[in-house]
Amino acid sequence: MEIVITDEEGVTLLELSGRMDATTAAEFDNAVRALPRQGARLLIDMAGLEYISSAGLRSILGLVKSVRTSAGKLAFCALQPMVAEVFRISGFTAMLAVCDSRDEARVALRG
Amino acid sequence: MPRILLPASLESCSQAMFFLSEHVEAPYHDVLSFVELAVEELLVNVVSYAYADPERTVGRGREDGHWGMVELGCRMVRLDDMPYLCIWMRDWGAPFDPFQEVPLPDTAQALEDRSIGGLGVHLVKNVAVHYCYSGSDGENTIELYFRLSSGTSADKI
Repeated sequence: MEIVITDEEGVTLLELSGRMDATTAAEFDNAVRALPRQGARLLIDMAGLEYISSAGLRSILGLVKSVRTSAGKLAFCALQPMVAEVFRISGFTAMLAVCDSRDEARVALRG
Repeated sequence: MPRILLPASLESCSQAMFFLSEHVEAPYHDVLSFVELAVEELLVNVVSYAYADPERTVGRGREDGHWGMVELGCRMVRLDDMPYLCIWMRDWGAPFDPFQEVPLPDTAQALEDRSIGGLGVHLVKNVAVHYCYSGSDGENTIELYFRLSSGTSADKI
């Protein structure tokens, strides 16, 4: 999988692409380890992510909990159909800020 | 009937995915990513637990060289006159029915209460329309049945 991290107007943007599975989730863990700073706002754009398994969900949930502990905020956007269905089945859609577009996710991070 | 015998290790994941892409027939390509998901989850379970305790392993796996291996296969079947893709996976480790023995997560829990992990078998149960475990003679066999996605004609099978 590929992870591109950039800063945009106080928001850390993560663009994920490829496959997030049992063999690649550790790459994500390593890439995001330093991100949950106090009050951090993270926007995770999943437009390029074509596949996720429970190993990926585990990494996502770990990050979400770290961000929450640091009084930060996190929003997801642009999920492909497979990833959206896995999020739905796992209860992630109801539990997290999952938006259609980056603009909507930015609004969610402001609120 | 296509099948592949692989070492029970995470490195076998990519070979298993390649096997599926080669042998899952075209009408089922719409659900291929969910087939891959189910196979990955079950394979990870086998890698993590099946051979962790050699004392619990009985049967012929140790005698015929299948110890530490996992076999994956697929076939087209008709069940009550309906076409299905059947994916099966077999190991020779400790007897284990993941559908009965793995506690299901509470997916309605709030973030603060959610534990990290435990979603794999839940995902398998939700993406396959039928799932089945049988354990006998030192083998664990799981069968998963996938239906064509809506909009694909059963006449193509």
